[in-house]
Amino acid sequence: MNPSSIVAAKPNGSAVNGAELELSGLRRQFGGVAALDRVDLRIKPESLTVVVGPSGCGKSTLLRVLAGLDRPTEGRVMSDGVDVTLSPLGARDLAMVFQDYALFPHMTVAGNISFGLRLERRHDRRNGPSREFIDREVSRVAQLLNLESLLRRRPAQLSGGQRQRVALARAIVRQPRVLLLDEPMSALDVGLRATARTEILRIHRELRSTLVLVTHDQHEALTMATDLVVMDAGRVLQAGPPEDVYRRPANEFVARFVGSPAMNLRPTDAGSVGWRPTDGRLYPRGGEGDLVLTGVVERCEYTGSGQEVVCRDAHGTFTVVQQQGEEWVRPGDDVSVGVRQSALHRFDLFGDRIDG
Amino acid sequence: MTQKAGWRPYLAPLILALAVWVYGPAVFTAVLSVMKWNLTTPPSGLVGLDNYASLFRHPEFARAAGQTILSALALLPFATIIPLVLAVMLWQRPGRASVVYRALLFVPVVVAPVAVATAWKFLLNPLQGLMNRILEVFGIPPVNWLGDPGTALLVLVAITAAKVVAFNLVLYTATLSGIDRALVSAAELEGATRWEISRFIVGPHVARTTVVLALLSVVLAGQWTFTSVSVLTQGGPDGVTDSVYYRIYALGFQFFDTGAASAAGVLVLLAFAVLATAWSVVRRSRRASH
Amino acid sequence: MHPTDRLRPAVAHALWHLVLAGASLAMAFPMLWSLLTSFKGPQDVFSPSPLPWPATLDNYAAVLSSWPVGMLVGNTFIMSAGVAAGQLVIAVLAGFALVVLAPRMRPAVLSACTIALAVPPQAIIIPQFLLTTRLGWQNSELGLIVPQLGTSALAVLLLVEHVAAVPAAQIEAAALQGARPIETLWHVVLPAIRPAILAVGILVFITTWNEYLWPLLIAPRSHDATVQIGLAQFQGEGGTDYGALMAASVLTSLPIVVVYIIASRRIIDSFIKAGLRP
Repeated sequence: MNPSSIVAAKPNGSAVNGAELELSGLRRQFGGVAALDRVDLRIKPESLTVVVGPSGCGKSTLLRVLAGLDRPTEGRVMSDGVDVTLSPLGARDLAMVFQDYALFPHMTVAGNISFGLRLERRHDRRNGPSREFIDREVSRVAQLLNLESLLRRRPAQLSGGQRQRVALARAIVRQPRVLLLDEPMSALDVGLRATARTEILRIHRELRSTLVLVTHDQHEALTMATDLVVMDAGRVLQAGPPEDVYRRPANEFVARFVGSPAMNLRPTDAGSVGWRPTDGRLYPRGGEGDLVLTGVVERCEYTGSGQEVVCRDAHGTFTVVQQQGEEWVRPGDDVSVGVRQSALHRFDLFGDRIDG
Repeated sequence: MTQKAGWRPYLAPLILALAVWVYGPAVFTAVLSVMKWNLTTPPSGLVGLDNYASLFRHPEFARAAGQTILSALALLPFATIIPLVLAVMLWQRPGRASVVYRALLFVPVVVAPVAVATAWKFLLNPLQGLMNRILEVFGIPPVNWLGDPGTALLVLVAITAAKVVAFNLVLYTATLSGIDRALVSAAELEGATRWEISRFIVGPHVARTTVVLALLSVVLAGQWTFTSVSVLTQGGPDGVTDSVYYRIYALGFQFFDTGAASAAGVLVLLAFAVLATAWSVVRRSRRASH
Repeated sequence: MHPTDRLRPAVAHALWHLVLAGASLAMAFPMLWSLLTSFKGPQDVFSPSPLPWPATLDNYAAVLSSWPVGMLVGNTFIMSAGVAAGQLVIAVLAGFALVVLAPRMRPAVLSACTIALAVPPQAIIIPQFLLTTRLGWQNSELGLIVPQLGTSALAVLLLVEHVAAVPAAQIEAAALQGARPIETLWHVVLPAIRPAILAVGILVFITTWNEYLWPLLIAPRSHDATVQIGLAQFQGEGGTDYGALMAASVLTSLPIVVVYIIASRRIIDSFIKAGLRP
């Protein structure tokens, strides 16, 4: 693909159409270990797809394969129906924000942001972007990300949040059809993460690119994603809208990984049964519901809007969330918990969801 | 980065330089060593091992080899313990004084060997040189330092020793700056004496460096002596300052006996191959023991 | 090793100064004495007094008028700068290839460099000499520079670790922005390793400046010679005018010593980072 044609097709400042990505039969082997194991996934155009999973689950490898930084051992990556598995770096219309931002330390903020455009200009003097165009685009994204006063600084003179915004600006200035973000919040203080999330959501809205964001934080995943992909051990366990993943987890792993506090699981003859801590109701003794367990309150954690109660029974511990207004239990109390049939999740002996 | 092709033009200059100016000549030296050839006439065909035989027939080469090994052994303390002690002393008291001392101690690394040799020739002048003037004060008769077979090799080893000390001091300094100062502070808080810190923190850190430097100085010292020999004694008096390196040069470029010079070169290369193998065995066994 | 601990700290400190000052004096003595002698008049040249009094610049005047210092220094500078530049180009390109483009080649190529480094130059000098004369490069800067590029191995070993220390993400980020490998090298890697390049360049420059054997074989004629050859010849011919000889020696050595002392911190840093704390 000729990079200059992309610019030409993109009228100034207007939004682009995000590409649709399709991964089929993707495998990536490192020595004897499969970091990706037969991954099939469709990433919808203009979605904000969040890939979540514990560390080592293969999500970063997935992102690197999408970027072209890593070649899959097997399988294909399609972008809008075109096979890009082997296409060279820089020829894919995508950009990436690295975990530690990977800003060029010896360039100013403006230099970092304009780097890709300046290269385009050097590669094609005639059809590449003009100097004026580059200046205009840099100030446009600088304005978008509130970086105007920092353009002449170097990365070392910036705070963590400012660096992240520079990395975002550098990634979006060429209006890529796909924007990849690798743990973009992990290097930020907790206080800055909410702001950064808002920023990324705004960019997604205004840029209309396809965003693929990788994180290990399920809360971040649930709050940001239009589409959620849960991975473990190199496999995609479930993909879909976050509400679906939360309400109907496809297996025990997803059930436990998504949602906080984590879902309670109890073994049954046919596999296991689970319920969300918010779906259980505590009773001092006795109790109502389709599933009733009894136990002793081990500890209570006040959360402001309620309290999380950790109880112990013969099989271990389970958690129940009490809302404000309920009669609060205390450590040492004998309690029982009742759960409605509709709130129960059943899994078979393999851990897969049984629908019903 | 996964760009597979395209590395060749980046690596080609290095490969070319090594092949044309190091590995090629090494192979060609072996070829020349079995040929009868002096630089002025065309090569007159294979002579087998005659060149090697002639090297061993004349006592000069064996003596040069013996003196090369002797010099290397004499330089061992200057390659290891002396620079180590100096480096540890500098390291113990960082500050402005250390910076000045370090700068002065490094001087022999960079001063041209020819300039050093010139200076020594002046200092050791048998008639009026400073050395003999000093001896005179103590009532010792003047010594013909570079002309007397008893002292000439000693002088050349001493000149090289200064360079070896300085060079290895640089490398020890680099090694020591890899020690975490926090570790030292912690040891001091525990009440460790300066000696204990040297023994238990510095010691293990520099052990491997010391083995390597001992070997490295064997490799380099002979080459460094070359310039002094060439400028000061040309191998004399009576061949006591001759070394294999100077012998190769003399055979090749003074006697124009290319074959014999190449045979000597091959023997030196073989000796180094043995050393290198010994080194890699040591390294492997150390790695295995860790 | 340190009975000093048992002494009072002040005594220990004095002893520390004594040992280091003594060692420093011994190590720097020949050059120091050359420097002092170069300012002495002909009647004082052999005087054991260290102070050049009455001091004179006659020796320098004599050297500058009778010895082609400018030409020798010029020749040597071109040779040293050429070798340093050539080796840096070779080493930077190779380092980039071994870290970024073809990391699989790294162990083999670095081994080849280490072995090349251990080969004594005298052992292979005859074929080098034959090749250089066959190319018609005798008495030329080409003949002085190109064969000395064979010793690029040290520069490679020193620089490859510095290239490896450039964060991989920066190199990947550049590639994703559409940079070709040579552009990544130029815009991202080179600025990051600039201090190391300077240090290695100075090191190679100094080593080449001091080289004796190769220029002796290739360019022995006085107007093509380097300062080392000139100095050695000057010493052979005018062997009795020690004042002038010392002035010549100082003129050709001191600038290098000064450059080294200024740069020594950086050179040591580059050794440290290259893991050449063997």
